[in-house]
Amino acid sequence: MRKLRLAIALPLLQVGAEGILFLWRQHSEPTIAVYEQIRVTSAAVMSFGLNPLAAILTRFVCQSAQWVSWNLQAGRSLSGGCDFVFFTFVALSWFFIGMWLDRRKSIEPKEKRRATLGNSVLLFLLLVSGVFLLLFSFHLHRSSSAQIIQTALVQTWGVFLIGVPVLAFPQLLSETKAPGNLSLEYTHSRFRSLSNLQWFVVAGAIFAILLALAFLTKK
Amino acid sequence: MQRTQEWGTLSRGESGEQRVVHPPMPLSEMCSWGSWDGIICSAQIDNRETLAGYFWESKKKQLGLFALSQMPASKGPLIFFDPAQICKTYSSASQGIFNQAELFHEALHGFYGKSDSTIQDAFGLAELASINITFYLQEKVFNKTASICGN
Repeated sequence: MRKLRLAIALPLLQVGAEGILFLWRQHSEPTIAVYEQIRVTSAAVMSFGLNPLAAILTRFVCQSAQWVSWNLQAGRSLSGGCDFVFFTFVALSWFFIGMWLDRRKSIEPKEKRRATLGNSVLLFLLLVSGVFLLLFSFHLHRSSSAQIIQTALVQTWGVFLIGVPVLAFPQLLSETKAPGNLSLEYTHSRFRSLSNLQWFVVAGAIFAILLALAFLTKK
Repeated sequence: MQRTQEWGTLSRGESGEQRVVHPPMPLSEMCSWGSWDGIICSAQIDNRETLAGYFWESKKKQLGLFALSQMPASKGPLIFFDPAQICKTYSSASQGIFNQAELFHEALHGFYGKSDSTIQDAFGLAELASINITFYLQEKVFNKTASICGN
């Protein structure tokens, strides 16, 4: 049987899920207030929770473009373009997650991978995004079911984005042959001990715990 | 047409007078990235809407919107009012203090970058319609009875 490639399956699944939420958003009334009387739909709130990094990056790109457009007197709506940017970011982020999961299993146990400065920077960026998302989640309002789900989803992202580099850094350092040398070596043994299915079960369990906590601290 | 210092363009009206023409302001400009509440609002707000459209819709749905402030203010306070809702009672009267309290309320959003629910939380108010913040300010800051303007 041909092995399922997560680098293809995960982006398709996520883009599909976001597509359904997008259609739901188009056909529902905004009821959740984000500021003054500015309201958004439950679908928009959950869509944000499902892919918070992609949503924040999209807003950053689009608001910068909007600001430029507005200041140049173009006065045109960039909304259609923003939806496209969002779906692109969603597909890209899940492609990289899927690729990481695929490659993790393909490495031989005794095979060592070279950890370059690029890898270290990437792990650091993941850690920073995780801390940012976790702090961000503590400021989210939790007065409706959609917002509670959103908070738990954002916190799950935060936990994973912090967890992966935190587990990888000590391994990376312990495998250092020459201190101060940027060309480090490390293995993926700790990550390899968990199968992809186990990873999804762990993610689901963490989400369930965070969902219960978000519900209990509802305000 | 000529660009102005701030925003908009200068053009000549029918009688030859000079006037500033502004492009429709996107609603997303009202939430900036300088505070957590600002980021939350900014990340979720719909890009399609304009500020004018938002005021129009709020009026049509009778949501009781008086004013909207940029949260947090990126270049000094930026507050928009619905002209029809501005209090016309003299400020010497108890009811006339509503404008000041409303302005104070909006300035809090701009200065601290906090949304209504966060301010309500800080003041120990119920997370209902945000007008209770204005009422609170009328009582605690201006020492007047909390009341809506009787236009």
